Amino acid sequence: MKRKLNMLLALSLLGLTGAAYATTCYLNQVVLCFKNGDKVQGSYLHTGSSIGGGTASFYADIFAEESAWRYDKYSVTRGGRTPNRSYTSFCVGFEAGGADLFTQPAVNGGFHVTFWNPLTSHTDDGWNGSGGLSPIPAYDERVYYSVGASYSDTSSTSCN
Amino acid sequence: MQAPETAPLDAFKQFLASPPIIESLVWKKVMPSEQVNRPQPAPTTSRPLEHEYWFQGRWQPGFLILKSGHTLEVTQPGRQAGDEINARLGDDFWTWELSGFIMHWQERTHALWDMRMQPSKLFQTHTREFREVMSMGVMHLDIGAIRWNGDNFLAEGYVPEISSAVRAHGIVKPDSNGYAQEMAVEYFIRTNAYHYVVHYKYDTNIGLPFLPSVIQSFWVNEGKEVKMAEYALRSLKTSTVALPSSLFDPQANLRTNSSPVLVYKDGAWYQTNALGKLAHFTPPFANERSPTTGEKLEANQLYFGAVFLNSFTAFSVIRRINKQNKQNTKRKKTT
Repeated sequence: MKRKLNMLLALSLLGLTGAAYATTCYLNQVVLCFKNGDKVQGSYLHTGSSIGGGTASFYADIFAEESAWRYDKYSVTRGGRTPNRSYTSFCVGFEAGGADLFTQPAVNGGFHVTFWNPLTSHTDDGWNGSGGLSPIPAYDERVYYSVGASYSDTSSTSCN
Repeated sequence: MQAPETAPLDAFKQFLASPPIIESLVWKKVMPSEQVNRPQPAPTTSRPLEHEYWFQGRWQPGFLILKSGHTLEVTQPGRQAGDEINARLGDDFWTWELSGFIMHWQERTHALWDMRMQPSKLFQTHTREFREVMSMGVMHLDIGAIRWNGDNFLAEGYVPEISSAVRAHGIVKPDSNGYAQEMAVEYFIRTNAYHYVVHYKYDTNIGLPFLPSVIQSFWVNEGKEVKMAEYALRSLKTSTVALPSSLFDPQANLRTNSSPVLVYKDGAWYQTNALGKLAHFTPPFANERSPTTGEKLEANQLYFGAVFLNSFTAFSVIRRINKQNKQNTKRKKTT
């Protein structure tokens, strides 16, 4: 009888540990993939329809017109990134900018870019869509980029 | 206020060559439909390019604060959600972007073409609309850069995106009432020439009657005019005395905001850490790769440690209880 009680005690202790594991606290760190003004892609070849009509192609450097970032959910109690945040790369397929820092942006939300158009001499706005791919709306093209991420030590903690 | 006897066209030209202190300039930029309605990339969850942007600018030589947002709310004091603020107070520059990131840096060079730092070039890009409106639709110029010779002008400018100088010349034509009706402009950048025409409309008096309420800029391509930008000016208030620098300072808003401030210094970005010191803003995952099994185990070492400690404690307690039970049983037997 006593042995059974002892076993129950041991099991309850293990259960408590499991419960502590489930109640994990996270730190939402912000990973900056592009800072406002960073060069997203140098000498990018634009091809496709041009503003003046017809097709055109040109080279242009593309700059981020807003910071592109994502949350990295970091577990404080478990000592690492959570399985649902185990990015193979922080800056591919990311949520990007376009939202307030304290609101989770849409996955693959994209961010504004800007470039000087050598055909018109006009500074144009574009949209860097799906993370890792950067279609420029005016030309329906995509830029493939890869950059290192930077941490901004900020944001909030949460437990569940 | 301009003297009433000055002809509208002369007052217009004087504004471009020697603008007054701007206490408030409010306008709306309307994206031409041929730019907005172009095919949008997948996925559709992307935030589309906005059709309209509102701006409020305040300027005097060496000082600028420019707010932009999606609604007329930008004219409200402080910063509304979704607003972007770009400010310059002498050598201090601030960009408070839509997402909430705040960037601060110093730039001692004031000429557009001498600015080498990336954030300063960014600042020029972000404030280009203000310069364009202050130049009545002429692109790539600093405020007050236009020099008139009769109705012809000449100016030197700069394109920060390609680090190139621009030479612009043009001619302004009045309407039958003596107001500026259109301005033909030619830009020379590197070896290329670009032709533009800017049309002016006078639907309302924005504050200075000789200035238009609508500015429409067209690229002239093979004889066709393609609209590139439209600015609808709402109000303009000038000042005859210098404005206090506090009116250009965005820091009052920063004190009530918990957004991170990135500081650009000596060619690198820093952020204030928990100790209040500037910490280098480094890329910790510059060479990203999938963690190995060992690293995953190491990452969870706190958890495994806790499990081990709890298990060890549990078995120690059980062992002690068993020992005590055995001793108690022995005592009972002996008694």
